Amino acid sequence: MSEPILQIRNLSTVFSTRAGDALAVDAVTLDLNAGETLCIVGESGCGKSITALSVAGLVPYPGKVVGGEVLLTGADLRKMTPAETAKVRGNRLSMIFQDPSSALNPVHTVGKQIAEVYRLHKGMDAKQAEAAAVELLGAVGIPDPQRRMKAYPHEMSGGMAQRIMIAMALACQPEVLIADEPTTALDVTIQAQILELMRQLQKDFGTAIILITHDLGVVAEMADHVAVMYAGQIVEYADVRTLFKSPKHPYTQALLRSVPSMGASQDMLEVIEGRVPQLTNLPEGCLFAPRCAVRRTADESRCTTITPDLLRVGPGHHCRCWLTAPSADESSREVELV
Amino acid sequence: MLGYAIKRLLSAIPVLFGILVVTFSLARLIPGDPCKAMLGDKVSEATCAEFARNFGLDQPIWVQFFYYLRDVAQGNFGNSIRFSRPVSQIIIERLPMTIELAFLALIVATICGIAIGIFAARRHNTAGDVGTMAIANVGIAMPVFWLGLMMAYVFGVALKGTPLWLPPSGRLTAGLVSVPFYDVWGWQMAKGTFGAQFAEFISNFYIFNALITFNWAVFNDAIRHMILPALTVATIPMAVIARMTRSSLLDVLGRDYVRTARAKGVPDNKVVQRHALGNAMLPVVTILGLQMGALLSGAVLTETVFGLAGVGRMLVEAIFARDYPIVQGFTVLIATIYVVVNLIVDLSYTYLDPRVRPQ
Repeated sequence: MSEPILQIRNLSTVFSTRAGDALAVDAVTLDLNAGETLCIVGESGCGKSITALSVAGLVPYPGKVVGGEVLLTGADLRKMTPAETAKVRGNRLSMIFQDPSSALNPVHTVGKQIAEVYRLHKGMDAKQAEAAAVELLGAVGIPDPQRRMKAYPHEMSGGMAQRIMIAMALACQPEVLIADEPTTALDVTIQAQILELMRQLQKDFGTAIILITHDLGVVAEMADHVAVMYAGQIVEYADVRTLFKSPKHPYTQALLRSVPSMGASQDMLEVIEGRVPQLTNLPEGCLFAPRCAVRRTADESRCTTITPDLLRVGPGHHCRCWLTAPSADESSREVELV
Repeated sequence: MLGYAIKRLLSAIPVLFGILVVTFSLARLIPGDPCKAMLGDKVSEATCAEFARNFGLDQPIWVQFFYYLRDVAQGNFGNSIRFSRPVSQIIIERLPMTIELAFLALIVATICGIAIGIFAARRHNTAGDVGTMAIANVGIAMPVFWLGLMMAYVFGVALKGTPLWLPPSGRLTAGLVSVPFYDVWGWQMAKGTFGAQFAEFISNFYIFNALITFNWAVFNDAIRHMILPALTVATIPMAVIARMTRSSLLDVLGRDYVRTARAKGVPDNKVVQRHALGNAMLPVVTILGLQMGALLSGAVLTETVFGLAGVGRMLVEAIFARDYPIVQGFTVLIATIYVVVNLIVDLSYTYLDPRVRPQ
């Protein structure tokens, strides 16, 4: 494998709140290879969306990226001037969001919004940009694109609006697309269409995708690699097969168990007891320890005293857990995710 | 679109009728006897009876109202009790000045208010933001008449002899005359026709009249006379607009579509210009329509302070003199202006916001 197209190194984001500073993203380190899909999964509030926004430099007030690097083909996005960042965004690194109906500007036609990307990054004039936008609308499966160019976002269904968002994001054939729960607000049949569209365009353009989701079905469908997040930290990272076949972290295992399976009759769905810890009031030791069923039967004092590192537990497989950690004498001990 | 405009126009008719009912009733509810107010307390019964007969005040109320409606429909607001002249003539003489004043104030309030609001919103939670909003609050709290007096004192008295001096009263410097455009152009018009009255009405916009007759001396002088009153009237609406623009823009800047714009690589200032302002203006436009009320009531006090012969001052004097026809006529007029302005605001929505555009 060649050099990854996007390298995230120790990225940390803090939200200053009345209750104190919340570390929403805690030293996240990830690699994204060209043309691949990396899924980030986790419960609501685990920091996956903020991770995505931190990468793109779009963290909302009062959040602030406080450390780390975001290297796009070696260049650190965080060290760029606002003008340089604006040249990268929408051009080499794009983003699509959860709720397409609120993500489009209600007072401009969709045609104008798409054409804007071409005008910003490709230096096209209004006419060229419009022609390019019409073509792109056709490519993302909008029927009668010429007419749809003049439509306003409120005249479109959620699925249509998300296609527009995708068209806008992929207009410049970016190297990286960050998709923050792109199908969460859509119904299931539209979900499948949108995912299929993303996969198709990924194949055509060679775009690498970071897909944020809480839907393990989507992960199984789309991912090459998966990062599981909990309370701002990555707790497990592996390729998709390994993660589904032999999850190591108790949290990942519990997540997978909580998915209802088709066919099998279940009286009760599996749940993970307890609640996600408050980011302003984190437990000592492993952040998952208070909810961890495995810990209760194991005899491991470090779980509630020392925060475990993300350690290598197999080829390309990393896990943040004392119970799966290789024993101290193994030399791979200090190997971080690279 | 045109259909919608017509529909809105028709829906204004019941409102205008309501205005007529209310103004008519209110004028009758003002305590005091018009006869005594006009002719003095010691006037005899017989004189008062004749006075009432002359002005139709001896008729039952509903008959008076019916006649009133008929006259208004013909553009006849009756004769002023005090001046024995048609109210419509007084409107022709006085309304242009008030419109000029309100219009200039509206322009100042809108441009400055929006600019200040944007300035504050873009510096959210910094000294610049807090400072401008504190000043805006002072602006809202300031009584118009006090502000007017202070302005007149500072610019008209204290700065006398400096280039910053501005005239503190009147519409034109003594000696200057605004020659109506129809006289300049040598138009011959029969007195009393609608055309002649309309031309006279237009010519009483001194600034506009000077502009179309290229009389720059009058033009400059009229504008200089309007600066202080316009600033006075503009202060409160400007502060309200600034605060509204700020909060609306802050709200919009946190919306998903603004994030999308940033994610597209739109540079920061363009994000505000292209993607935020259009949306942020919607509530501001609403406020703008409502501020017409503040402008018109501000005009009443301001005209008094700056000795301007406008509608507002005339209205106040007429109320004291129980000059019913003038009170009614002017109230209807001001209310109608208010309705029309808000009609324009409503129609401008359909231009600004595609979501309320009729299909």
